[in-house]
Amino acid sequence: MDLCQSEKEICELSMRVVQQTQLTGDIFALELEGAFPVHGVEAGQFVMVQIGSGVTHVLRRPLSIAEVALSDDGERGRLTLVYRVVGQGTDWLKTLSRGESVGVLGPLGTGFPIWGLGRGGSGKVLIVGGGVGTPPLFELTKRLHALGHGIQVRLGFKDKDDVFWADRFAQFGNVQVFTQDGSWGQAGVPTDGLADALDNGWRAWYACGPIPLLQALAAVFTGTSTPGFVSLEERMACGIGACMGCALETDTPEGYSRVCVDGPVFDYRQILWTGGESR
Amino acid sequence: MTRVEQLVASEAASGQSENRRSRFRTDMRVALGRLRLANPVMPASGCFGFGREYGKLYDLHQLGAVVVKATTLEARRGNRGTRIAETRAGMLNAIGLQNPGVDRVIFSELPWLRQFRTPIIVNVAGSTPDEYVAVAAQLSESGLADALEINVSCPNVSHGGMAFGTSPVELGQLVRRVRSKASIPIFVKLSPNVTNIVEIALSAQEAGADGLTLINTLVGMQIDTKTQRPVLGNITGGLSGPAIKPVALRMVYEVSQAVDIPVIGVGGISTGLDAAEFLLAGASAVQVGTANFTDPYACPRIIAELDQYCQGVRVKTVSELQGRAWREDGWEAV
Repeated sequence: MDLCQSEKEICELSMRVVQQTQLTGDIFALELEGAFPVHGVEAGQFVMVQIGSGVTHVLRRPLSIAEVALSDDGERGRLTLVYRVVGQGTDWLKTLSRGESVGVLGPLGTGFPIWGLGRGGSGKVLIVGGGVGTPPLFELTKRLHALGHGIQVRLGFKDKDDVFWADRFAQFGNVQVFTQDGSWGQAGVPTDGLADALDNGWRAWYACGPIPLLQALAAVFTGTSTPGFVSLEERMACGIGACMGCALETDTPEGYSRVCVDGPVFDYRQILWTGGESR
Repeated sequence: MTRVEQLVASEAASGQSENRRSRFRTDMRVALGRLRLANPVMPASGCFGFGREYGKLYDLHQLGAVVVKATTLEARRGNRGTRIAETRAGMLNAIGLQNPGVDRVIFSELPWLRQFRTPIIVNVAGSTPDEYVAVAAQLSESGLADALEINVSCPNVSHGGMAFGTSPVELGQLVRRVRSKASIPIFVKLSPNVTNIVEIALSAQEAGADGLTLINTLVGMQIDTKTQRPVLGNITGGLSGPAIKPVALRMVYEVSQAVDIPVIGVGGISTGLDAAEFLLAGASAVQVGTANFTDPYACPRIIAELDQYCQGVRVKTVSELQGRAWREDGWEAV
């Protein structure tokens, strides 16, 4: 195998585009192969992707790892990154096609803690995703399934044109889709009815998506003993903890946390959920 | 080979640290007054934390020096809201001097960095002259800093910061006070947001500065056309990256001719040729900021590229480049 053998945990390498797939109007999946260190990657970690030559776009873009595996021939690492086109950087990413190369730095950050759950057992694990926040939950769902956990997945989208990967999640858990206009699945948001389902005995919950969704979830579970973890998104410059660009105030001894190294996954009780935003 | 593997291989080939200098054909040593550096390239303050993160990626012994994050008397949490925005060939930041405070920097950050022989330059900031003096005195007494960089140019705090760096009189008073309390060399990091940079530079020199770092970031802003509001929580931020290189280069060119103390050039350097331009403009050393984010291995790469440039122009000692763009004997030397 020709995986990145650096003794350092973080690799900076060039990866080849295997496939670029448009999932919805503005959401794309980029599959990359290269010497990425597959083993030891946690679900919920991310990579910093270089945009072009790095001269016009000096900052790499943090993209969560939606799926990580060995390539078909077992010789390389394969990463799937799902992103929404929001500006010039992601607009450039969209133009990448099979055979082209892109600079990747990773794996970075702290992923979803899953080992404390043990293996299998009674009770389900709740996964809640909103929009482009759902991809990092896919690798997590896959792994929880492999560990024998029963999984309930609740995914929220704006409307039927925004829905993606509901079928992929369904391979590993029971999926409920919510759209705001009811054009796919149930009308509403993924937190609907959750407060009444608390006696389901959730073993843990994991979520990624818009702040209002995460905040609503936190409100439902506050006061319960169910462990919960949220993955946050923030603008980053270095991605490795040096620049303080992504720091946010948290309920921790330091008083703040860096989304890039202390996160992106946090215990929801550390987040200061005030005023509809996290800081 | 990936770039990581190449670096690992080149490090292995270079053997023990004693041989490290021999990796370069050029004599890369430079002097900043009393301070001797193995090479003229160092990361810029604020872009490198206290070295721990980049220390996971490469051996910090390779750097000419390490300039750590701005340190204040008390811990600071920095600014709220969005702190980072990319611009064309640059970026805006409005971190707001977030740091753990001088006590913790001395207790837990600098001792870690001290394990490397690389000189440590600590960037000092404050809201009042008293705060600058107190922080500088503590750092000087700690024995853990080889030099101080007085930050009179941070555009992202409401008190102090850039205010001291835009008035020659106030700057002179501040530098004089810090000078009297610090026994280690002090460099003054100047703001480009002034009408006459030479006047400010001369004032710092007269007050006893051992050297100057220029430039800090240019004040700028960005507006989100969807929300129709400023992107940064602080509204304005400091512009850095390749976009500001011509401005920085011009200021280094002007100031280095006017002063007798060494100048450290910084602003948009991302290649060895960029670094060479600053040395030619009159800088004795350079700092690399935003480029660390684009390429986390930017500093060691720039050092290697600078060595190659020197070989290409048949310069045996990198310090020979200094000021060639304006020195009268500069042309025939190449």
